[in-house]
Amino acid sequence: MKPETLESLLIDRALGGLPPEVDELLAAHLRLVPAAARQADGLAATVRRAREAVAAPATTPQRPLAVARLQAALRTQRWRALAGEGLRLAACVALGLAIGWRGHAVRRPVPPAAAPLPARAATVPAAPPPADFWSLAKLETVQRRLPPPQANAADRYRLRWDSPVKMPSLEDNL
Amino acid sequence: MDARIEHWERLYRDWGPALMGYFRRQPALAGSAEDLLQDTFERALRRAGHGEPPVSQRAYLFGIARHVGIDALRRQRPQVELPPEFAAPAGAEDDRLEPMRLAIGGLPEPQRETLLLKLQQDLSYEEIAAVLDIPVGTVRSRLHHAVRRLREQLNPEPESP
Repeated sequence: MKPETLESLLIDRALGGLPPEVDELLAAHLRLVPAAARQADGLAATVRRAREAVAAPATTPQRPLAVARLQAALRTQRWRALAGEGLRLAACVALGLAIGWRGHAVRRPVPPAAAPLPARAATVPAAPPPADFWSLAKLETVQRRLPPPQANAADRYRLRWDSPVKMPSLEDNL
Repeated sequence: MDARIEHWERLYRDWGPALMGYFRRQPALAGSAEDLLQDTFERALRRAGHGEPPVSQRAYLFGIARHVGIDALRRQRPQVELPPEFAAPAGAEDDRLEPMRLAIGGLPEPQRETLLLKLQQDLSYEEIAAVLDIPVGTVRSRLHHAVRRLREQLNPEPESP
């Protein structure tokens, strides 16, 4: 057996920390090896003396257990448990409301933005429409930007709409 | 009376003296040991049922007592004199105990704390691990280092049977 392993076992034995079966095996080993037995005695003496050095008589508490304090603590514990349940319930309700509100907000259609009517002269051409995907709302916006129909205005511009997936545009009717 | 209160009163009767001794053996806590003992049981009751079940009631109570003691030291209470009944008995004591006491006092704090829990309270390695919230291997390692160090310092002769 390695000396360090033996020493560890002997310290555990002196402190009473060895399982019984290991203790028996070690005792058998110590009977066969006198040097190990002397080492065991030395360690046991060290631990015994240390135990004596720090020993103190048992001290009985002068006061009985403060039952009133414990009862107050129990009451507080019960109230805390109830409050915790209430908080959890409130959190669940708040979470449910938040999810419901968010779902409602997502489903609600976004109203089309009403573009202000341009105060332009009738002869000023409308701004070119954006080149992105068209929609009925955008078409209405473009139409609103057009100057009011005049006798000769209809002859000046014409609507060009080549494809249903493309934005209509105005072009000069020259 | 509430069954839980009775349960805690029984624990107080069983472990109160040992816990009282634990506090009174620490000079900085000895003067307020009675209060700390009451605090220990109150805190133990408050924490009962939280977390994993303890290794043993004794380990659980000593773990709480340790934290109560640490908190008390943090509050910087004025140092109190060691009560006379805990001073080393004069005359009749073995002369070799005082050097041993000094050697134990000179151990690093973690080793000393672990060793005292073993020697004074006779807790098992597993119980000490639960009290200090450290692995059992660390308990064993600390105890081995402490005993080796004491042996090196004092080197007592093997006693004849």
